[in-house]
Amino acid sequence: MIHRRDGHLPFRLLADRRDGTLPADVAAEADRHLAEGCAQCRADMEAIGEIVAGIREGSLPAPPRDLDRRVAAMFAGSLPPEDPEVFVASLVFDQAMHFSPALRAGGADERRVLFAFGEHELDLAVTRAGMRYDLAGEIARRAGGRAGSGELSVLRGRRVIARTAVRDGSFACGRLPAGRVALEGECGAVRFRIPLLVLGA
Amino acid sequence: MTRDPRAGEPDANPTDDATLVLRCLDAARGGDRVGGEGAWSELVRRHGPLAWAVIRRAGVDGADAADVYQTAWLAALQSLPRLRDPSRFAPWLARTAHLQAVRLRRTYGITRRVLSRVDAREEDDRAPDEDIERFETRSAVAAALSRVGARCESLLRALYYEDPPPAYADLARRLGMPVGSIGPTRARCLEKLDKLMGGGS
Repeated sequence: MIHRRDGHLPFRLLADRRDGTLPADVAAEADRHLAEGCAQCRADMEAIGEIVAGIREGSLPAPPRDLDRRVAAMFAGSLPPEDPEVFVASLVFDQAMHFSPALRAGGADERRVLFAFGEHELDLAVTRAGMRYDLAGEIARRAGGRAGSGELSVLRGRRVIARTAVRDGSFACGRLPAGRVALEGECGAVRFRIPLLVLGA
Repeated sequence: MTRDPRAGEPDANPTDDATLVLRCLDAARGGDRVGGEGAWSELVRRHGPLAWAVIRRAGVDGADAADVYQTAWLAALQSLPRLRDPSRFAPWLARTAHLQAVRLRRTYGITRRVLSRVDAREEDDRAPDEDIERFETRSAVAAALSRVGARCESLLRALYYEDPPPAYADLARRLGMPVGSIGPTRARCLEKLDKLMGGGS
């Protein structure tokens, strides 16, 4: 009795049959089973033959290594560009909260606010013009030097109410209504967000 | 091979092709970039020799083979989201490589006819299924051999790759195992290899 409980021949026995190392009577019984047309055992026998042939033929020659390096690099080039990190700016100084005539740099209706994000600082002047407000800002690296160019948006809720260009770190934006706004900007490779700025009292 | 992996078998290869393809797709949709790049590199390492063999078999070599190889991988990369069965990545890549090679070979024919006014010769451009399957098996066997364990790999290579195969007594001495255990170990190693390749009796 050479069959397994499920009626098929053990894989190892088939491997021995393929290599011709079974005793004659066992080999004859295995051959009878295969000749009866057992699909599972025939597939196993075929697999053993393919494995042995695969080993005998050896590994496929590899393509030149620099070629594979180029193909491997293809994938990174196909990916969408990574979103730059968005810095949430933190308030460093607000003249409205620390009123001092000595710190006043501009006119009576001007308020200075300083934010910091990443390696940058944003010096913002908020000037009242009647019932409206003008913004003028300069973005600079803390280590020195202006930030690059980009764009700045003023939002009320999710709605963009003003948009202006940032050139060499400088921007200006006028005629904004009083109330709470958020600023979102991109300057060089840096993106930042100021979640809340109150225009007016 | 015609057999399917059996349900309930332990996962023979935790990073199978389907998983690697899905990681690539995830990265392309903005997911894990590093994981995607690693998965793509592994696909290139694993199946580069197969694509290369198919291209060379189609009669393309030298700089043309390098061009076709890169074009085939680029086509595979661009078509990845449309791949119906990610576990069939290898045969799909092989056929893509064959198609690219045949396209180039056709231009050889046109150039030859234009330059030397020789008669067009009908060329057999049908996909060489048998050859591709043989390459696939060689590739899969090589991959499985590298994971089957050093003892099994040495034994199977000695028995089926060396020409002429060593006598059992010599092999037993070389591998430090009793002569009587070579036969059973060989059958066990073939079974292990078969399982690594997705079989399972």
